[in-house]
Amino acid sequence: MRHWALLVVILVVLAGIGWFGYSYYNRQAFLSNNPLPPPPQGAAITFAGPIPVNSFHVEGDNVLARTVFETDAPSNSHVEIRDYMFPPNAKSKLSGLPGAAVLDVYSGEGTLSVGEQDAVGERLLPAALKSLPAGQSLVIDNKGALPFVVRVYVFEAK
Amino acid sequence: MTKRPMFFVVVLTAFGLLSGCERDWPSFRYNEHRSGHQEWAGPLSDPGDVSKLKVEWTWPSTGSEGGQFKASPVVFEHRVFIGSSSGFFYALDAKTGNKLWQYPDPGPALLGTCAFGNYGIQSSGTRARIHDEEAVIFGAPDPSASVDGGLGSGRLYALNAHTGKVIWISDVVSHVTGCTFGSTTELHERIAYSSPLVRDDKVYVGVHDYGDDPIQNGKVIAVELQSGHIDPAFTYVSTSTRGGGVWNSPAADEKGVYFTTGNTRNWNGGSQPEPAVNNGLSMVRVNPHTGAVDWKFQPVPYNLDDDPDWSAGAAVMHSTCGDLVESVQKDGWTYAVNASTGSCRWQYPPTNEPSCAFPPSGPHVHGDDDYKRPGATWGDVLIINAGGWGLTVPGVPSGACGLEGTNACTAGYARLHAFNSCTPDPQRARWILDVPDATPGNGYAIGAPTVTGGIVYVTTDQGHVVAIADPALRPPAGFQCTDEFINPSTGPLWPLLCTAFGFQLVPTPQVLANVTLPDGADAAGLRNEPAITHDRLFVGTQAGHVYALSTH
Repeated sequence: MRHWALLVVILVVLAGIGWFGYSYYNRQAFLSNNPLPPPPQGAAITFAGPIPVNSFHVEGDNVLARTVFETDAPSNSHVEIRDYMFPPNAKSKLSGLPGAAVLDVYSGEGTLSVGEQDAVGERLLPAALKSLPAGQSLVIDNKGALPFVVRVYVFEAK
Repeated sequence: MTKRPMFFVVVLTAFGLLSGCERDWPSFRYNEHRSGHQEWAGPLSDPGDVSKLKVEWTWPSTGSEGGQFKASPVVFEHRVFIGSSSGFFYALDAKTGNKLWQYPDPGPALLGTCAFGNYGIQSSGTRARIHDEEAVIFGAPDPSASVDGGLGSGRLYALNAHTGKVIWISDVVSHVTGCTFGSTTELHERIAYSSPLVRDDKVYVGVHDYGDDPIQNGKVIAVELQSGHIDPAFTYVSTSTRGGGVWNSPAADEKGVYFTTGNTRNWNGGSQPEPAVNNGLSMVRVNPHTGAVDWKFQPVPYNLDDDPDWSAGAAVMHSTCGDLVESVQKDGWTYAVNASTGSCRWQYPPTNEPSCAFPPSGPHVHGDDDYKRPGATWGDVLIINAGGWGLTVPGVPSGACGLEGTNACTAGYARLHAFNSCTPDPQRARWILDVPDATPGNGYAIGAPTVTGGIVYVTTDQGHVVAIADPALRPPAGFQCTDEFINPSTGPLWPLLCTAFGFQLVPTPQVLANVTLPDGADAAGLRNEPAITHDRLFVGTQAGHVYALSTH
């Protein structure tokens, strides 16, 4: 009788171990199909990322800009390479450039109006090149969902 | 024997049997989906355990193997299998690191005699079952002088996994017929970068070239699993002339076989017209029986082909929004493609172009960059070394991303992106991390990531193994903008500017472990991945060492 009891105990223990082992070893690793919760707002955000040289700064109301290269050039002139980023779904204004310039569209698309009289503007797509006069204000209308990024080569006569 | 000791013997035996149930890593990227995802839970998927990760054994314990481990380990039957650039393939005891056998033994090494064929074994093996034998299959040059003069034509080798005995050596699957650089009359084919795919009764391997010198016509070859003979019914070539090399390991699901292809234009000065058949720079699905192209996805048109080979392979994801095939092109753009139709599900960064295709009139920004590692899929999440939003910003000092050395394009080389595959574009990025102890700007800074339970493992060029916790598991270290050029130096309102300009604020995940490998050598080759088993992680280095890491 005691042997039977011992056998039952062993079987129960083995069944328990088997169940534990089966459930443990056949446990699939955690899987996520959901996006993460949104980041906290305002001051609660801690920055943790790279800070590259040539980061953008704010210019005017809603334009990001950076100067990636500048040098004095012959005949008392100055050459500067600037990048501008214009936000999506917004109209942005840049005050006049210090010299004549060439604008090279890098990504996104927008409509450029030069000076106060240009009401219609010109649609610019990636790889487009556009010459710009000195001193005239520029209005960029970015109706797209992506930022509009251009590089501007400014040639300034001092 | 008294009753009490007998009871404990029974219990201990039961424990022993259960602990024998190891979770393996039987092929490059774990499975035929090339998911890079260890599906089963274990200490390496437990964020509480991962911080204890350390090197358990090294092989060889003294000296080095002599070659480079550009391939990654595969693990099954309690053995670690790995091949070396020296031309030897090894089986090691997974628990101790002791060598069990090598092939060939003693030699000659599997090396051809000319540069196009002397690569040894640079891709991982694959588990297979052949004639009721447990087998491992890998690709290598055949040194025999009877095969194309011993220059290094490639074959697949199927060995008994327990003994290392040859089961079969395949027909020649890649030919090297001469050693003249630039020759357009010789064949300079390789299978160095392609791990064999076993699907049903076939084994598939991709054929590519050597440094585009000159570019060869890309191929996928299928051999019969039971015999190693080439299946004549299966034919795939990438173009009607040259190009479209298959520089990666084919993936598969029940629908077909997937792979990506290299450039088509980068030979003869690029002046030749586009070939009539051009499956280059594409993600491709072929019929597994015939090789016929079911669909191709080709986002970069021929005239913008400045050598952005699609060399990271495809990963198949069974997501909650359907079956997707995902990868990154060498120019850094990432894509998710509908596995059934080949239509673009999303690209990152988005361009909002129809079908994610770049217009032929667009800028030349698709060049010879180094985003070449396959991604890991985890549920709906893709973890991959990708270019990100930096690709849409001009480089400094030069403007075109396609030219090497422009920082906007190369800044992502040491960076992992995690993407939500099934969300709208504005929530696409899940997290971003610049991997520590990986050299920024080095195109070979990190290897291919693998994942288990949300813990991402990746190797670095500085000889580290880094474990990263998805923020669903551990709170992030902080946040950053998906455009790295918007940050606190932009101004105190950088988080607002980030979102106003259409970017995302995303978490920077916590690093749970950062283990320095004893040889400190580069562990971030194109096909270097941490192989995750139930309780150990295995990596190889370019200095000829294999390491097992564990948390115990």
